[in-house]
Amino acid sequence: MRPVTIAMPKGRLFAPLVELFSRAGLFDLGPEVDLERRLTVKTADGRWELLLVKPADVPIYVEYGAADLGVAGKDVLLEARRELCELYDLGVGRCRLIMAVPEDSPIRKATDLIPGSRVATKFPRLAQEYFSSHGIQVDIVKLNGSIELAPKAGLASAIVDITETGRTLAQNQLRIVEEIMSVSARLICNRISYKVRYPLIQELVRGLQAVEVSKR
Amino acid sequence: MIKADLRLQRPRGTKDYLPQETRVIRAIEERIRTTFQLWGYAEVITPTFEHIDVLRQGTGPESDEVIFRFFDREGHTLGLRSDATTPIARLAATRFAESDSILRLAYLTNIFRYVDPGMGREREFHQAGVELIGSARPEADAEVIQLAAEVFSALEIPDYRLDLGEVSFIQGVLADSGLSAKEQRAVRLALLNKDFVAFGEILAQAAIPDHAKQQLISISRLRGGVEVIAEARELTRNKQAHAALDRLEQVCDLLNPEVLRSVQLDLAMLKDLDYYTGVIFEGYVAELGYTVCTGGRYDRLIGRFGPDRPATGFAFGLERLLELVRWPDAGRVPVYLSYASGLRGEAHRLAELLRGQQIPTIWQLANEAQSAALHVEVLAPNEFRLTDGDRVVVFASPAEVSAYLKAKN
Repeated sequence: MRPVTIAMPKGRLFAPLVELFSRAGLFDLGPEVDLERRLTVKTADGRWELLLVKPADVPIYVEYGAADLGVAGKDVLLEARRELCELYDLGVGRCRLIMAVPEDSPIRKATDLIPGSRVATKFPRLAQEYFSSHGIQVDIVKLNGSIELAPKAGLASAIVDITETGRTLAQNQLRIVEEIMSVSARLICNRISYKVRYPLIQELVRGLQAVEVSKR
Repeated sequence: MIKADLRLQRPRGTKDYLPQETRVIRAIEERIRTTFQLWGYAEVITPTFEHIDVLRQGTGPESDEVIFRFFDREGHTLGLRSDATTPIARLAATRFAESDSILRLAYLTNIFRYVDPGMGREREFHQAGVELIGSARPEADAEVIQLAAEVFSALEIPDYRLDLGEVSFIQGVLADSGLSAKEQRAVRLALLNKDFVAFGEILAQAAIPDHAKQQLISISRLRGGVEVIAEARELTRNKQAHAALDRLEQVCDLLNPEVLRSVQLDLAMLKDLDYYTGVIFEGYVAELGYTVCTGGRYDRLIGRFGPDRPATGFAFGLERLLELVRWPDAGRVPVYLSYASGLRGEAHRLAELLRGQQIPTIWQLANEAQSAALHVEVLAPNEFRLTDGDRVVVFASPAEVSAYLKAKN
């Protein structure tokens, strides 16, 4: 059988994920390889192939079946809204989706926003849903990075973004006013791969559960 | 703002099929149509658009946004056909209202859905399927499942698989679970979306005993060969769930051994169309990331248009099959025909003979390039010069020309 392909998010989550997976007995990448420039990595036993992709692209690879499995943040999954199986909450990459405003802003909560205010975010769909469900009318501005800059530059009066510790926000004189949801990395699976590779997937989830139990 | 030139664009989610692709899709349709006929299913054609209230019976009120809708001049809201089964249910209830005999109907049609294109989804796509109306027997379920398997064989897709489930199994299990109605709905949605994280979270927060939670988790993992039916019986005492398992077992017993080899049971399978009531199934192939066939029992849909009649059926997505079909369909090689002045009559007789032999014959127009692989020029009543690439042969009669070209095809 061809190797199981798993789309892995490049960036801060990659190292903790590899460690988690090797502790769960799934795969070992062996001696340090220079992963920065690689696009794919095969494990020594040939059972696994890792595709190294941008975090937001993971669900796309998995939905189309180009990867059997993948790891993506719940935020990315909710934003992409694709047809996938969500197998397991890996517990890593825990962070919060928040709304923040400049420290000197009079805004204390989301409903303080003046109707028509601009809100900058990487997650336009999630942000829109949040404000709509609270009856708040805002203009969502989609940015691709450095969201913290938007209020400073006068582009937006608030931002909706992901934060782990809140440190970056504080450094940029931003204050959290709403916690929208907490998110973590999920193991996802293509719907047909779920059927075709069912025994292996069950083995994998059991392996991950065992690691979680041993941590308690 | 400079606008894109809409004269040059197709609407999103639609497709042009060029000759090569059209030939393959028509060949697929032909094989499917023949298979349906051989099983006694008669093809019907329903209107491209219907009253919105008809289509809504199939989509349910929550997903009727997929319907393309418009008004007629009397102000009625109409919709483009968003699924094939619902119009056929209307047809069965109204045009065959008096008949209580069995109906075996087939269709090959286009379907319109306002969805985000991509991942095998288009806004206009094509489906081929059947409906077996008037029987609640497991033999009817088995018949359509066998027929779906036969379609895969007819299309020479050997490594297909079929997943079977029963929608009332989970309903029964949940009814006895102690979960609130709201939690039951949430669990069904999580299983439909195969979101096992949400499933776990709902259970974690539910006020039911731990062993009941464990039971539900085990049930969500019931997937495999027919042996999972016995496992499932051990996990629940609910009558509705047991009846569902009995039906599923009867259907499996009725399947041919070679079809059964391709079958997997998935007792946690649910469907996004809300009209299914019994045994459901999905056909797929490992190499393609999405299902190519979907079907099942819908005993209460026809009742929304008239007296209740049990029914089951399935649909194949033709665009998805197009991605799987590997057999070459080269089509027949055409021959170009021209003639020397005064020999029009002879050329016509030759063309008639060739077309009678199923050889595509094209009148070569004055400005049509001579690069065609096959060309015949009538030089004299008994002189036919045939050019086949580099080869030139002169035949003395139309019969000789036709014999050569037949061998070629």
